[in-house]
Amino acid sequence: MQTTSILDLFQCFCRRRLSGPLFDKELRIASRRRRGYALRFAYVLLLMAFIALVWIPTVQLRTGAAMSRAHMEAAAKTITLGIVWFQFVGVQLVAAIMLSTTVSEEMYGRTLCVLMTTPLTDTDILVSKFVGVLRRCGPIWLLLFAYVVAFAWAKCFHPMAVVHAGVMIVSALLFLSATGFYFGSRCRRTTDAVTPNLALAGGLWCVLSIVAEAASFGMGAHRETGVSLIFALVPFGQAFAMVATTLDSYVTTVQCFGDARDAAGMATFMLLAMAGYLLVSIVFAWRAVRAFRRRVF
Amino acid sequence: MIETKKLTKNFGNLVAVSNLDLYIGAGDIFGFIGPNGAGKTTTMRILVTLLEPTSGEAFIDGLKVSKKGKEVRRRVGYMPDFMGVYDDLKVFEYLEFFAAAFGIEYKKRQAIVDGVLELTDLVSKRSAPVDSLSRGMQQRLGLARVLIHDPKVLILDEPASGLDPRARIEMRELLRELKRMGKTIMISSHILSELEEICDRIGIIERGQFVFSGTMEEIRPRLGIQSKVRVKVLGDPARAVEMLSALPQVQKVEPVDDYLSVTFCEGQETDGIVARTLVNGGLDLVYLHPEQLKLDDAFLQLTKGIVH
Repeated sequence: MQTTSILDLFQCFCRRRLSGPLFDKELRIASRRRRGYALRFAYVLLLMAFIALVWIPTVQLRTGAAMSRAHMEAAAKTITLGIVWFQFVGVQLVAAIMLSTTVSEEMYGRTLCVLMTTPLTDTDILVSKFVGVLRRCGPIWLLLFAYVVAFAWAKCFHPMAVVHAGVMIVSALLFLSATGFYFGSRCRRTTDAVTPNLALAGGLWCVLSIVAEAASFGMGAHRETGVSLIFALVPFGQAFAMVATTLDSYVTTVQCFGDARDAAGMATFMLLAMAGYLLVSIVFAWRAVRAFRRRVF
Repeated sequence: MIETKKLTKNFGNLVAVSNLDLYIGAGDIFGFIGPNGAGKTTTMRILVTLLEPTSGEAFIDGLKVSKKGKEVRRRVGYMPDFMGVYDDLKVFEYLEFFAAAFGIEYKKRQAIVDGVLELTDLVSKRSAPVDSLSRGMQQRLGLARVLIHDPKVLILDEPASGLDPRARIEMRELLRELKRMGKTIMISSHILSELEEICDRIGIIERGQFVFSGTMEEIRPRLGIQSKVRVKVLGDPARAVEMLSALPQVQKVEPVDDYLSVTFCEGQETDGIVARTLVNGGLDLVYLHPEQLKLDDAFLQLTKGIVH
């Protein structure tokens, strides 16, 4: 019926369709859902609870000034690491759920067939929904990014941490968006769409870690080859490598593919991994667009 | 305005629509009738670009549906048999969203939304949440949505399903108004008697193929059904039976309850002959009414109720 190519996806972005009617509708509906506010409140509450749990025991320690300072530095490092991880995991989870459900909700509510009788193309619909979710998750990403930038500016992080954070967010976001749309366009029920998406991401990243480790042992390679792959490919490994190589006054390196890599070295691996994620994401997105109209009923 | 040529749609081994040839002229109301699973909804979905035909062609306003999907969608308003609505939107927001989706300029949107709300009698519900509307109102909102881009063609899949009698009458009036506006309407329904009153032509489909397509007048000879009238006279009905039975145009006269049912011979001119004969014979005629072939009867006779 409609030949949708990868080129259409790019044209869609180029034609200033990002703030179309569907985008407005998505934001308007989201702003009226009480559960959205409850989730945001819960999110902030959890973050505060985490900081309190780490910080309160530190300040309650009755030790000397030097010891106290050392404890506080350690606590600050834990909090920094925790915030980066917490934000990163939270955002990916929210994005994965939102992107999986945004299409299946339309299918389940029988609104998609009506939407598809408008002149909006399948690609328009998917891109608008993607941008809508991006806009809704945007503040959390910006918060995470601003946090990293602020610490880099204060020379607590290596400036390369900004690149690391950007690469991690974009890689995981692209991958989860594409797989979310893929499953969302195939499943009528929202839970049916979310479960395989989370299972795929979690499974892939766990399996990737195990395979990397097993391959290292099996091939007799240095054990750190497996860890290196995890650092380069798995988002949570990337987050660990980011914190390890950009904190501690920039002196720390991680062993990656036989060499001690610093922040810049890890950024190269992360960028290569991002290119891989981008390719896989394009395949999933293309499959999602192809399946979109076929699965409307 | 709407045309299909050898339209076929298969779902695996299941043939939903088979070599369907259909033509609906501009400004016509076409009633699409058939048992469940006959292929009505599939045909409509192909026409509105939601499904791709397995073979054959479909055209809307001269545009090939499978090639010019976007242009076709601009010309067609489609109302599905079960339509979901966005619960978190208000009525005017819902319509404005679709107006924007059809590319209507921002400045013109409000006037157009107000216009369709007035046409569908939903002005009082303008700011009401969509999910607070009754079923009948939601159907009217669906019709308002369909009209928002002023399409030439309306394809309505059972628009009166689930409505109470009052809402059905209102829907029928609305469809008549749309016909007056010059819209070409293709409508399917199980409430066959309603289609009989508003449709110019009907198509009865079974197992993906038309078993009849034409006007109500054309369906009568197809079924071999002769014209009948109901007559009631003052005085002796036996005399009326005697007088009418003597007419060469009349095949038989039989008393049914308190009136007489007069069946004419096939192809005979029957206008006025019964009344003339009875009055000239000195009988007072109090009731004379042609027995209409009901669409439900035609539907039952034409379809065997076989659903694949």
